[in-house]
Amino acid sequence: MIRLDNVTKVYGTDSVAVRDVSFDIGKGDFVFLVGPSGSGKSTLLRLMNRQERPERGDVWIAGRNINELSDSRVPFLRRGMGNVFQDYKLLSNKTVFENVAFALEVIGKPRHVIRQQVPAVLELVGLEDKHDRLPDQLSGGEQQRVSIARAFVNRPLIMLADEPTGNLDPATGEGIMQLLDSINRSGTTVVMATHDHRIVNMMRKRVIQLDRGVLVRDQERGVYE
Amino acid sequence: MWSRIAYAFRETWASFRRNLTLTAAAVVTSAISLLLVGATFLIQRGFDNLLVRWKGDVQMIVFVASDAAPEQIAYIEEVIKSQPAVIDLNNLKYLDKAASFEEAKVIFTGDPTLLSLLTPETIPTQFKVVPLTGDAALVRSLAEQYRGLPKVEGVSLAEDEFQVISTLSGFVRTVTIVMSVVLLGVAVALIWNTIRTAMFARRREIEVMKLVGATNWFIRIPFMLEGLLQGLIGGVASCGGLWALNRAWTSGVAGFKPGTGISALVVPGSYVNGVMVMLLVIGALAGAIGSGIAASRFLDV
Repeated sequence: MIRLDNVTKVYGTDSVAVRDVSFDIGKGDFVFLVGPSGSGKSTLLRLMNRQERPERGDVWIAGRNINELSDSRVPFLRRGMGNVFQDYKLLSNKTVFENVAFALEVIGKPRHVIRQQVPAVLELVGLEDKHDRLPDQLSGGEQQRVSIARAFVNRPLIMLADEPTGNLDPATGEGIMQLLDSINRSGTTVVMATHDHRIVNMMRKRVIQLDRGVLVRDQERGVYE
Repeated sequence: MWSRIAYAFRETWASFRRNLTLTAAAVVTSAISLLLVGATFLIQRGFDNLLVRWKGDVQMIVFVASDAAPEQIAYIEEVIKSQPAVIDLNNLKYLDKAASFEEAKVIFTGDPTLLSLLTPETIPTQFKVVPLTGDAALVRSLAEQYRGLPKVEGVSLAEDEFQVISTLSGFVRTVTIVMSVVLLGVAVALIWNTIRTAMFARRREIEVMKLVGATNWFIRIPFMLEGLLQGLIGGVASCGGLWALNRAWTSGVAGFKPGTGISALVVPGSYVNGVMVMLLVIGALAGAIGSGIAASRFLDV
């Protein structure tokens, strides 16, 4: 589903964010990208959804080399991916329902589809009774659930999560992980960047470890270390 | 499809209301600049009316009485043609009654009283003379000679009427064109800035849109519509201004004594309508292009 071949990303002239990284992620896998701040985790996620392009190497998504994708095709690549962020990136002037509906609206889904899919995904994340709240009226965990609902409402093949539990207390973070796990069980490939030891050790999924942009470990059912 | 159109209009309207102050500034500037563009066209048209009879380097007009017999007209032509070293015979033109009447209709647009006195039967015909020499004294002496011919009602020299108007026309044209281009540039820059501010205010929204797979055009169109609307409203305001200006000018000119020549500066209504349509198109295009560039510039998320 996702393959990186000798990928190197350099910012500016000499700041190497990722150096010669290669790995394969199969359909339906759950993978943790771990490592300290600045190790290149977020850069890898940005390379996977074409927010960045590598200086060297190729990024393959669902059998297509996305570096060769024209700019006009990138939106269609992203429609097959969900993105979850540490800071949620919710629109503060829109309700929970509108935030989730927004993801469908901007890709031109008709109203009847929106009316059908949004309540279903809000039920999945456990927020069906808070659909008319504004983000400010929700807890951090609830806001992250809205963000996940928005990422998943289009039933993407891949979900990229960048420190989704970074701003949450351990118990709330656990709830978010359960949610991501159930999404993964439904067939969606999940790639999650984190430096939360507890969660990685609890989940025992595949771990790809980075250190200063270099891949130092790729382990099935790994722990943080 | 319908949901996309509804989305674009909803977003345009919301953004329009959010940035009311900046929007107002952009609209007012584009209105003023477009008004100046329109005024340039009207002033130019007025001068063209005044100068229409001197088109094509004509330096002298010999007016022939309307009751002149064909032989008398032929005789005048013969006299004029008798000096091929001084007169450009290839460009010597004779305007018969019908052609002279058509020309008079342009010149006396703003003087309906005088125009009503003229008919294709009573109007003098004209020889339009292009001299080969630049010697003003020689041209003047020729004019004196033609004035003495039978059935010649009068001879007008460009030197007397044309030069001052022509210089004034060139000056006014340059000043108004420069001012309108500068102001139009300011208007586009203001629209550009309004859109940039609108996009900055909504950068998070745009970032989310891009990440969930909205196309650049989908994001860009509401902003372009907003710019187009600003330019168009500016255009409508400038049309109102131009209409009022033209009305005041026309009634002002009507107060002048007939026959002073000022009446030629009145511009026909159909021409004013054409200029107004042009202002609307320029306003809408400038707005859409300015905002389109701004939107493209800030779409890199």
